[in-house]
Amino acid sequence: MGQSSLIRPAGEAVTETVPSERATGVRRRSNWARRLSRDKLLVGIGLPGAIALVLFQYVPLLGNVIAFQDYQPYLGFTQAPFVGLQNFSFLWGGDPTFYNALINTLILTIIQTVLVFPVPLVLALLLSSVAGERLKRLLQSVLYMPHFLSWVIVVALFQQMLGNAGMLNTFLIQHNLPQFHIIGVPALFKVLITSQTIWKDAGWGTIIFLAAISQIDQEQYEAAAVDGAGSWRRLWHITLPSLKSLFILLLILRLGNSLNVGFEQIVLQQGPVGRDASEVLDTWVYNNGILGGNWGMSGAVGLVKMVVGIGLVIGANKLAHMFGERGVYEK
Amino acid sequence: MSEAAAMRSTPIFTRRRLLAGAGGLAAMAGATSLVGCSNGVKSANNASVNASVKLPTYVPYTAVKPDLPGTAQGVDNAFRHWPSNNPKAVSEKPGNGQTLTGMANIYYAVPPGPNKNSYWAGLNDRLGVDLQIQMVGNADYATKFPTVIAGNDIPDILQMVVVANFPQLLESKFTPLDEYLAGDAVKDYPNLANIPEFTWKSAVYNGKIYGIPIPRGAIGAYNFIRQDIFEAKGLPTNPKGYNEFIQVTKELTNPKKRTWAFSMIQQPRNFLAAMNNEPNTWREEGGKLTHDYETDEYKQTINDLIAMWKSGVLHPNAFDTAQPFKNLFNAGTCAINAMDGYPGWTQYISDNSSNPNFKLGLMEAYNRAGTGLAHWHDGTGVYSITGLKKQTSKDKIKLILRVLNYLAAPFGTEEYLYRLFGQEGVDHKMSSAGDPVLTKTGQTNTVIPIRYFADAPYTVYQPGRPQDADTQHKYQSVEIPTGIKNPTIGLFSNTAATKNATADAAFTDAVNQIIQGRKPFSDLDTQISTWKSAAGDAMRNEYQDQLQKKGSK
Amino acid sequence: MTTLDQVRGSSRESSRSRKRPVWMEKPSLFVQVIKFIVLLIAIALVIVPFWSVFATSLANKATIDASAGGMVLWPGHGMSLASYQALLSGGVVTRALIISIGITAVGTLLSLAATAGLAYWLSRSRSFAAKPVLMLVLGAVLFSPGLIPSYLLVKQLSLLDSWWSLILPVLVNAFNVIVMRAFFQELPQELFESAAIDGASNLTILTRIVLPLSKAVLAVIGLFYAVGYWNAFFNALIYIQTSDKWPIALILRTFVVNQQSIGGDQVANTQGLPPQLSMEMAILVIATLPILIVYPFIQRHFAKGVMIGAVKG
Repeated sequence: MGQSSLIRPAGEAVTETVPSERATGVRRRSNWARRLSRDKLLVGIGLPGAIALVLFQYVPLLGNVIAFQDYQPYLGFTQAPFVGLQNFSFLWGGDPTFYNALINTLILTIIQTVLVFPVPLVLALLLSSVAGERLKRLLQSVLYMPHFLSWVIVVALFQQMLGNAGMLNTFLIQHNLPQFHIIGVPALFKVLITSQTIWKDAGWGTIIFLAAISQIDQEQYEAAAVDGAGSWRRLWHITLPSLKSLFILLLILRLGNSLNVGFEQIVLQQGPVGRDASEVLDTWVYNNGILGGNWGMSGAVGLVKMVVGIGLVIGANKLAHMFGERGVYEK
Repeated sequence: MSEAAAMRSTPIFTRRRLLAGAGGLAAMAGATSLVGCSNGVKSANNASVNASVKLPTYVPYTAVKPDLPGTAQGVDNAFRHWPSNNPKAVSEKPGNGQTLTGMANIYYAVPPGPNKNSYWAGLNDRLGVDLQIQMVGNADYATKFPTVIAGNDIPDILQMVVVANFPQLLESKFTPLDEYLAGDAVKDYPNLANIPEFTWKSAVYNGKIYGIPIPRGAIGAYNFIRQDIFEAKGLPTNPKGYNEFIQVTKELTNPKKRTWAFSMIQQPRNFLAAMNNEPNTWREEGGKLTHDYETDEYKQTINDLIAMWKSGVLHPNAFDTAQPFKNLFNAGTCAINAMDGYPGWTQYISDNSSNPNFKLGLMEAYNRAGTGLAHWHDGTGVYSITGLKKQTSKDKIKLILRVLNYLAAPFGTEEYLYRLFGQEGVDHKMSSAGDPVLTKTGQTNTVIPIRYFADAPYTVYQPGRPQDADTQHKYQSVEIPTGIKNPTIGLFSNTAATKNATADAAFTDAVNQIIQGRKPFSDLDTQISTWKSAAGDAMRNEYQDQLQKKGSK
Repeated sequence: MTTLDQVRGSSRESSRSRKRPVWMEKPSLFVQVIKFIVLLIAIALVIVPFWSVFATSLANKATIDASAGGMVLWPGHGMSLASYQALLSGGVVTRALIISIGITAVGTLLSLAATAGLAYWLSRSRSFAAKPVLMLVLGAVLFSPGLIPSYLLVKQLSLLDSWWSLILPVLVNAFNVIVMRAFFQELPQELFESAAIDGASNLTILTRIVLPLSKAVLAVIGLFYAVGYWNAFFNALIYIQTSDKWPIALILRTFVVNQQSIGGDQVANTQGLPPQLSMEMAILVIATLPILIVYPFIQRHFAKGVMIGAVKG
C-alpha cells in the first residue's frame, strides 16, 4: 500500500526513494506518475476550482501585452504597434507627480498596516469576550454593516455627517461652537482616509477572526483556568497563539497589496484637497494614463505593481519562515 | 486582508480593472472635443478635408407651427400647448420585419422588454422592425463603451462616446454616410433634413459624415434660479453688474440656516466667464487663437472666485466632484444653479411638483459694469452622435436611416406623440387643456432611450404649464443674439483628447488650490505655462493650421 | 461517540443560555466598563449613519428639503414607504430579484464546492502539484484581470448574455482559497492518520471528516461568496446585454439619476416619484437587508467544542 500523502506532517522533507529504479530519468518520470496516481482523487477534487481560477485570472493576463504596445481598443492586441519599454518610462522619467504619488502610497500603506490592519483582531477579541451569544451576534451584525456600502455611499455618508455642511458642523455653527473640519483639509486627508477604511471594513474583518477563535478548543481554557491563569494570561497564552498563523497569513497578503491603497475612495475625494495631498499610484495612473487614453502606460503600471506585489509576498513569507511561522506557503 | 476579499466579493468598479483596461471616462457628449490622430497613426482628419465636406441641406419642417417660433440664430421653437394638429411625418413603414440592434445610455429605471412592454411592442410595429436595445445606465456608459468596441460587438446603431483616436475608430468600424445624406441626398430622409447645418458639423470626421447628431439648442445651458427664494428675499433676479451680483450672493448665504449662493465651483466660474468677457474657450483674431487660460479676463475671474470663496458664499463642498447639486437646488439650499444643461428645466419642474411654493426662474447674464448683457457662451449644439456600424449591405444602412428618420420626427407630429407619450389611453391621457399626461404605465414603459439614436431639434414645451414656454423663449431670445461660439468647433486637434485631458485636469486641480487660498495667486502664471507646454501650445498650432487652410470665415 | 454527543449537547446548551462557562471568572468592573465604552462607541459610530440611511429612505421631500437636501436623523412628518414602493413595484424588479436569488444560491454552492476542493488539495502540501498550484493561487490574490481581456475571454467562451458569465469568472476567489486552506491545515494530523489507517480515500476524508469540522470557515467563506454574488453588478453590466436578464443590483443602479450629467437631460416623468436621495437610501437598505437576515444563521455555526469527542472517541 503506498504511503498516503495525508500522514506526513507538513515541513518534513521527502526522503522516500524508489529502490528499484537506477536511472535518474526513469526514476523521476515514474516518481511523478506515481504521485499523480496516488493522489488522483485529490487532484480530481481540486481540479475544477484550479481550472476556473487559472482560466479566468491568468488567461486574461495575456492582455497585459498592452504594456508594451501603443494600444487602442479599436485596434485589438494584434494590430497595436509594439513600443518596447516606452510605457515604462514613468519609472525613470523623473516626473515629480509620480514620485509624490509613490510617497503618498507608501505612507498610506504603512499607516494602514499599523493602524487599520490590527483593528479587526482587537475587535474580534473584544467581541468574543462578551458573554451571551445573542448579544454577541447582534453586535457583530451591526459592526459589519458598513462593508456593504460602496465607496460612493461611504464618502457621501461621511460628508453628510462630518462634512463642513454636514450634521455635526451645522449643529456646531448653530450653537456658536468651533467647527470640526476634517473633510477638505489637505493635512488631515490621510487621517480621513484611514478612518473611513476602519469604519467600513473593520467589522467585516472580525468575521474571519471570530471563526478562528471559535475553533479553539475550550478545554484548553478550562485547563488553564483550573491552573490559576487569569483572563489576560489565557488571552496571551491560548487565544493569541491560536490566531497567530492566521494573522500572519493575512498580514503577508496585505503586504503583497502594499501598492494598492484605494482608488475609488480617493478619487472621489481628491477635488477639495488637491492632488499633492491625495494622489496615490492608482489615481496617478488614472489621471495621467486613462484620462488621456494612454492604455499602454496603465498596463505597464499594472505589471510593475504585480511584480512588486509578488516580490513583497515572497519576501514577507521568507521573513515569516525565519520566525518559525508557516506563512502562506511552506518551503 | 479582508479588503482584498471585499474587493473581490463586491466587484464594484475595482481600480485594477480600471488600470488594466477599463473605459476611458472621457466626457460624454456635450464636449465635442473633436479628436485627431495620435503619435503617427495616420488619419485624414484635418480641416481642409473636413471643410470640403458637403453637409446635408437644411430643410426645416413647417407643417406644425410653433406658438413662439425659433430663429435662425439658434432660439428654439416653443409651444405653450400640445398642437391640436398632429400630421404624419413619415408616410411608409421603415422596415419589413428585420431585426436591428442598438445601444444607448438611459437616465431612468430600466423598462421591461418588448414582450411585457406594449409601448415597445407598438414601436416595433410602427417601425416594422424588431428593435433590440441594450440599455446602459448613464453612470456606466463610459465604462461599457470600450468593451463593446474592443470586443467587436458593435450594434447596428450606437450612441458614441468621443474617446481618444476617435477619427480612426470611426474609420475602421463605422459607415461614412455621405452618399446617403450629403447635400440634397438627405431629402430622402426629410426629418433628418430638419437638423440644422451647425449641428451636423459635429458629426464630420476624416472629411466624411460619420453619424447622426442629436441636436440641442445653441443656448446650451440656463442660469436657473429659485425664483420663489429670490422673491421672498426681495432680490433682483437679473443683477446688473458684478457688485449687484455679489450683493445677491451674500444675501443668499446663511450658514446657520444652511443656505449658500452656489453649490459647485464650476457654476460661478462659468457665470463669471460670461460676465468678465472671457472667450468661449478660444478667442480668434485674424487667424490667431488665444486660449481662455491665457487671457487677463480669466485672471479676473479667478480673483473674483478667490474673494467669493473667502466670503463664504460657496457651499463648503463646492470642490467635491460628486456634489449632488440638483438635490441642493431642489431643496432650496443653493438658490442659484448657474449654467446647468437647459433640458433640465423639465426635470426641475417635475422633481418639485409636490412643492407648491417652488418657482423656477432664469437669471440673465450682465457684463461686469452692468451696462448691458454679457456675451452668452453658446453651447456645442449637440448632445452626442449616433454611429452606424459598417454593414455589408447598403440596403441595411438605408433601412437604419429610414428608422432614424422616423425617430427624428419633429415636435407635434403623430410619430413624435407616440415616441414620447406612447399610446393614448394606455401610456398617456389627454388633459382637459389638450396636453398629454403620462400614466403610470407610460412612465415606466416609454423611457426606452431611442431619443439618443435620433431626435428632432429641441423644442421648448412643458405640458400643463404654458407660461414656461414664454419664460424660456423670452430668455433665449434675449441671450442668443449676444452669443459667441467656440471658434474651434468643426476643427480638430491631435492633442486635444490625448494629452489635453490630463494637462487640463492637472491645471484645474492647481487652480482650485489657488482659489481656496492654499497656493498663492502668483502660482497661476506657472500653472499656465505648464499647461501650455504640456498641451496648450500644441493644440493652438494645430487649430491655427487648419484655420489658415480654411481661410477666414 | 457518546462523548461526542455529550460534548455537542453541552456546547449547544451553553450557547443558548446567557451564562458564561464554568471556568471563566467574572471580569473586574474596570475591565467591564472599558469594554462597554469601547463597544458602545463602535456600535454608535455604525448605527447612527445607518439609522440616518433608514430614516432618509422613509422621508418625504419636505423633510429632506428642510435638511438642506441632505440626510435626516428622523423621518419626520409625512414619512412613508413611498421609496420602497417605487423601487419594488413593477415586474422588472420582481424578476430581477428572482434572478439574483438564483444566481446567489447556485453561485455560492458551486463556489464553495470548487473552493473547498481546491483548498483541500492544496492543504496536503506533499501531494502532486500542490506547491506550484499554490503559487498560482497566491499570484491570483495579488492582481485582477483587466476589463477588456476578461471581456474577450468571456466572449470566446460564448458566455456573453448568459448567467454563467456572472458565476464562472468569479467562481473561485484566490483569497478565499488561501484562507480555507489555512483552516484545513489547522486540523489535527491525528485525524488524517487514523483515517488513512482505516483505509479511507481522500474523498471520504474530505466529506466525512474535514468538512463537518470546518463548518465555521465554510460558513464564513460561503457568506463572502454570497455577498459577492448578491451585490455584483459590474459583470452584469459588461456581459449581460438584455436588460430582462439583469440581476437586482444592476437594476437598482439605474434608478438613481447621475447628478453630473452635463446634458441634464429631459426627464419628463419623475412626477410623483419620491425624492432621489430617499430612493438612493432605500436601495441601500434593500441591498443590505438580506445579509443582515441571513448572518445570524451563519453565526450559529461558529460553535465550539465539536471536535473534541472525535479524537478521543
